[in-house]
Amino acid sequence: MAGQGILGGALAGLLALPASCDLPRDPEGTLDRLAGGTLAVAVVAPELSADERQALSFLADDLGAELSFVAGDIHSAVDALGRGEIQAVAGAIPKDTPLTDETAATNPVGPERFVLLLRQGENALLLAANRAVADAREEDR
Amino acid sequence: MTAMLDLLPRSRHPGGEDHPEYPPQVREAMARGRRLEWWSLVWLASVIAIMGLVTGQSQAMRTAWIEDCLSLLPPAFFLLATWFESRAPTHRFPYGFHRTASLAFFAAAAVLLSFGSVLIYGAVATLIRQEHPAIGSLRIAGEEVWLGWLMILALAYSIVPPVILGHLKQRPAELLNDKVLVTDSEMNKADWQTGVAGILGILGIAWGFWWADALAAGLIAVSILWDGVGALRKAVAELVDGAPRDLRSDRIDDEALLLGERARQLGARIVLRETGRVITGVLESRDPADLGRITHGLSWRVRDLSWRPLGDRDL
Repeated sequence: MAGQGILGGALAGLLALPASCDLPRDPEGTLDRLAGGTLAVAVVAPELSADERQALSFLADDLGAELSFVAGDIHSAVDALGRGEIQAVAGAIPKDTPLTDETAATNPVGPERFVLLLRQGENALLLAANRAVADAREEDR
Repeated sequence: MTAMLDLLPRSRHPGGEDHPEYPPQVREAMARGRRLEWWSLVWLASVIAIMGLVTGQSQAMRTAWIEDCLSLLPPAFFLLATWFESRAPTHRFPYGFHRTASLAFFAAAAVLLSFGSVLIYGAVATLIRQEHPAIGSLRIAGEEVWLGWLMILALAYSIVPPVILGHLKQRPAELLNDKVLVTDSEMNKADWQTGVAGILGILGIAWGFWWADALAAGLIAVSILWDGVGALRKAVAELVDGAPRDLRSDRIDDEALLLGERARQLGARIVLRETGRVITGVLESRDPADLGRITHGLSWRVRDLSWRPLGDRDL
């Protein structure tokens, strides 16, 4: 019983840590590298919607990064994302895209419910991107 | 359709009482065990629902959720088996239904074994493929909250009901000498390990260790497999008419050992087996009166011992 009390206390302490320890963290450190760097986005549709542009712009501002767009096809873009050469893929990607097997999708943005794709496992960047997406949604209203 | 209904034993024992062959404290333990198992189904359903809401991409979380779904089986099997046991023997099943518990136990063990194996494979495959789990976030009260924290809360909740129920089930399980109930009680009591493993897996992801999740999932799967192996050994021992085993281990039951010793002292031989919670068997000796000489001071579990003349086999 005492052991279980100690365990409970340890767990409570651990759960209180995130506020002070900027958790979650990226395994590959993507978010940290973006600060003052370039947020490279592959655009896989002829044009980005206004909502997608706004979400990406908010994300770049939050990170203090410069936004840069690169045109390309979806498969090379996902490969480059997986290698860390680019940080996001955008362009009319639907919420139920099968690409979430290899990438991480943000929460949906805009009335069309498009998502942005990020490198799988980079959860700090995903959290920051979801914040930007939510801010973009609020701007719309 | 009516042919299928015929498979279900209809009548209770004469006099309407359930289990007239058991003493009152055993019947009370049975009623208490059944109540606790109904409560288990309710509480486990709540755990499964809450965890199902936040599962997402964490493999450890999914594995813990599957384990919670699997832990619905022992209570369900116990309730089913004890219901069958309460029915009177029929023309087609003249020995009655004591063995339904053994069958239920075997089925539960086989399920645990299969799931444990599949889940271990899944965890190892994830580690080999180096898949990094993506865990998103939810908007709550104007703040973007990482789903990992919600998963940890759900896992923390999942620890509480099974551990409490597991401790409560221990006493009725021992009084009833019920293998299904005792296995269920031990699995429940050990459930805190699953919750903690899941939480550590998600904390690992939070710290950037992508492999923590799959590792935790693998450990949870190993524990499921281990439970399955232990249960399967006990279930098989009983179904192939092995000697009666102790409730919690693979040792031979103390009462069976005592009967064996008494038989040896008379120069006789006794073969015993278990049918559900009852011990039964045959005494082989030269004198039928030997049966009366060994059956004093035995518990309610030993029933229907018979006698046959000693054959030409060596003792």
